[in-house]
Amino acid sequence: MDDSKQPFATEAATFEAQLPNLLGQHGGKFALVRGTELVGVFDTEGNALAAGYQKFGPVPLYIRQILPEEQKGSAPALVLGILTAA
Amino acid sequence: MITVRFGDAEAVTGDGQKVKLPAKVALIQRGPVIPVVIAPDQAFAAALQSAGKPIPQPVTGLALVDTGATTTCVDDTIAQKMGLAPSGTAKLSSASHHATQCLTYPVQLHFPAWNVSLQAPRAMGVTIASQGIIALVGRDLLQNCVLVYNGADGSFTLAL
Repeated sequence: MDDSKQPFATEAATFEAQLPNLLGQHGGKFALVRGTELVGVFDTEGNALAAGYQKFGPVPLYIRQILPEEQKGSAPALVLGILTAA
Repeated sequence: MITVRFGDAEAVTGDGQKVKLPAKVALIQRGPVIPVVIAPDQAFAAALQSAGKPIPQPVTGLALVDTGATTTCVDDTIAQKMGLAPSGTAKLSSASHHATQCLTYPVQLHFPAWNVSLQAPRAMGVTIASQGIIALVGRDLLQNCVLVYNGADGSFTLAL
C-alpha cells in the first residue's frame, strides 16, 4: 500500500497504466495489484482476495474491476445525511 | 425469510413520557433496519490465523436496508478499529455532491435473524455509526434477496 496521503496511489497508477491492455482480454474481471505489480486477474473479487492473502498474507490489497471507467457507487441518503435508525 | 414489524416501538416526548408509536410511523422513522454482525471476511480471517495473528472481534449493531445504495457500506471507524485491511478504494457520488473516495473493506455480514452470513469483499467505508447504523445493505447484496416494504402495515420482509 502506498504511504502517500492518497491510499493506494501507486496501485491505482499501475492499474491505469495496464488498463488498455487488460480491457482487451479481461474486461469485467478483477485485477489484483500490489505496489507496481499486477499480481493477476480473477473472475471474482473473492478469488482475487483469496489469492492476495495467500501470496502476501493479511495485508491491504488493491482490487479493481477491469472497466473502461471506474464505477462510482451511490448512496444518496448517506451522502445527504438523512439516514436514521434512532 | 424474516419479517420485521415495529409494533412495540416507543418514543419519548418532550416532557419525558414514553408513548407507543404506530408501527407505520416507526418504520418511517427507523427505516428497514435489521440486526447485523460485522466480522472479517473469511479469507482475511484465515490469513490472519495462518500468520498467527488474532482475529478481530465481530461488532454488532443495526444495518439499514438501503435500496438507494449501489454498494454495501460499513462504518469506517469500526472497520479501522477491527483492524481490517482495505481491499481497495471506491468513489461515492450523488447527484448533488462531488465524488469522494473511500476505502473498501472485505467483510462478512452475519444476520442473526436468518443465521445467514454474506460476504462483501469490497464494502465501502463510510461514516454512519453516529446515525445509529453500522452498515448499509446495498443493491450488491440485495440482488440475491426479495424485499417487500409494507408501509401500510409498518413492516418489511426480506427473503434470501
